[in-house]
Amino acid sequence: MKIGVRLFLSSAIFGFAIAIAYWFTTYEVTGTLLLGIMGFALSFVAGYIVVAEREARLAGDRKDGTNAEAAGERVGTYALRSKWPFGIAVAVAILLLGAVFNAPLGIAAFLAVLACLGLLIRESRP
Amino acid sequence: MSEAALPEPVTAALARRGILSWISTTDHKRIGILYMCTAIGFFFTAGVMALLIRAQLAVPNQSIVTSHQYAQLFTLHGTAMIFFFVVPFAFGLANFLVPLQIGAPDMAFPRLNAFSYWIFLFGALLVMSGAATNGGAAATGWYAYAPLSGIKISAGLGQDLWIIGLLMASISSILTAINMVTTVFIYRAPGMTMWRIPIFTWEIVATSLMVLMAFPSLAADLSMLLIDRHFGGHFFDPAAGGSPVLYQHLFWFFGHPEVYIMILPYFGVITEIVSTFSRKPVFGYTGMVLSAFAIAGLSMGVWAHHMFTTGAVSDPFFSAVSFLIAVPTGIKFFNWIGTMWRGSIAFTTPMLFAIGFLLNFLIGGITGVMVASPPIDFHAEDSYFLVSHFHYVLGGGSLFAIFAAIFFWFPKVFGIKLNEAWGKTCFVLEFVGFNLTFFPMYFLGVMGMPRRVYTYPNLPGWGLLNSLATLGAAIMAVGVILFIANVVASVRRREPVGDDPWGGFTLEWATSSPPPEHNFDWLPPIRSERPTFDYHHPELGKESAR
Repeated sequence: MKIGVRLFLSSAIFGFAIAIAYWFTTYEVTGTLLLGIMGFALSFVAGYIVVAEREARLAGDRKDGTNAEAAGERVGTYALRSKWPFGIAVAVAILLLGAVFNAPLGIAAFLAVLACLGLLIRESRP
Repeated sequence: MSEAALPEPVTAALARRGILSWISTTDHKRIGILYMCTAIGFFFTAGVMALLIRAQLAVPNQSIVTSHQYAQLFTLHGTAMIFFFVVPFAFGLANFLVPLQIGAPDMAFPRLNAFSYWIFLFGALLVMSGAATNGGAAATGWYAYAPLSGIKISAGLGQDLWIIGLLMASISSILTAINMVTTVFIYRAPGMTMWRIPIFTWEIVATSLMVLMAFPSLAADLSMLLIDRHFGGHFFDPAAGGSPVLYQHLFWFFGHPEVYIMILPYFGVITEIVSTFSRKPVFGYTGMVLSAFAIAGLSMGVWAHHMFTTGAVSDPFFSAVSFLIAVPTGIKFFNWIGTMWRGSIAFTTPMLFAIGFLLNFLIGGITGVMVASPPIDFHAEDSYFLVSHFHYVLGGGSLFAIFAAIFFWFPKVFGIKLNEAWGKTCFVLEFVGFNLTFFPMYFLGVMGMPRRVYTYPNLPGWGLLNSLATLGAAIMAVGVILFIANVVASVRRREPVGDDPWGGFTLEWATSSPPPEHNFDWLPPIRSERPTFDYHHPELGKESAR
């Protein structure tokens, strides 16, 4: 994950540097805030990787990794199919339309989103 | 291997047919195909709109459509081409290819991936459905500047559907970007270190980071616009202390990176194709990767070069950073030429489209450097010079790369090769048609023809140049019809072409065509960025070890 940390950290430093350069060149608030938030978001990801994933040992990070290392049950299982992503998307579309045009419809769609999410979570359990 | 010998999940997967199997799929390859087919559908729709626009402008004082219909046409054309064709096609291609290129069995979050596709599709349909409403579709351009897009001027339902639809497309892009970055960082096969992943995958990582930084700004902008329109907000209302310039800042903080979001994945496509058909490894692999991130980083700091003429931004800052982007882009051009240099070049259809991309994008890029200079931009702003410039980048660039990608990876996706002779004819028609359409527009712009006008007076030279542009568009349309005929004929013929018809270098060419649901029955050892080449040529493989 070293490259991940380097990538996010260098991008964050770039974000902060350009935010500072932008501020002292223009004294314009909107752009400075946007660039500063960009730097913060990237440093947050880098920080997360350093703190939470420092113990991660990925076979893909080793030059001499062999295929046998990624074989077997421990690599996890994949959902071959699920109808709930489609259901949630339909409900989110109705939710957004309802929020603007028809509040009761929006509330009903919000409940549908929650129901679909619940069913998705139940389906995800091994 | 007989079907009876296959493990249970695979036989179950093969047995699945019908619409329900597509609705419930979480397989990254099927989702990729859904994205790409949907994107091509929107390309055809937006292409028909472009033909209507060109028919209207073919001669002076034409009246095929009204001014309001014309405004709807160019709004939907731009929105569909940008949000529903070029970007989703890149994400579709990435969905299909990235797990295969890094040796992964699927994306990191398969259900989230499926949700991203469906929310994109419904968002796109909402935007287009505006055309069926009483007041018609949105007619405020693809950037919908406030206060033009405010409730006082654009009260129609079409504008609301446009905002809600794009909000959904933004959510889709952000979720897809999270999925891509996580997949590449976590799910690489053993030995597939970051410095061995193919350039296309690197470009997708850079693109995804840009999406994560830029799209929230668009989502915020659209949400604020919706609040202004329906919930009593005044973010962009100057009479109540709001600022229309704030809308432009937020929009272009997304909008300019969006240009690179639309081109970086296709830089990856071109790199893969140029390398494969030059029979050489990518020249300057590290430079290619670093230049992608340099472009991504710099593009986050150039948004207000679209706002020079507002007089509310710092011209020197944005001009300087815009000029700087030419440096990493130049590195890419140098490396593509370096890859071809003394290579054994095969002029296949994908390679021809890749060369067409290089020529067109060069013209678009150079004129981009020109308009990065405020004095030229003040002259060219809102003229046909800009229309030509961005079409050379996104039409001559991205569209040609999309054709190249379709011809290159069609055998991998469907196990069928498209007809080469028809493909080359299609390339000639597209290349001639494209340049005939858009090169005259540079002259029209310099002559002062403004963009977004639905008709124009018979001024010297304007009629002839516009007629040439319309003729070019018709030639492009013939090329697209030939492409459709090629796909239909090739699919009917169903000639199997084997797993690796081009002698590809990267991991997707090591599996069957089309790949099985779990992607790989076996993986070659990964010891360089060209594992398939190394496997087929063990005597040469060590030379490219990284």
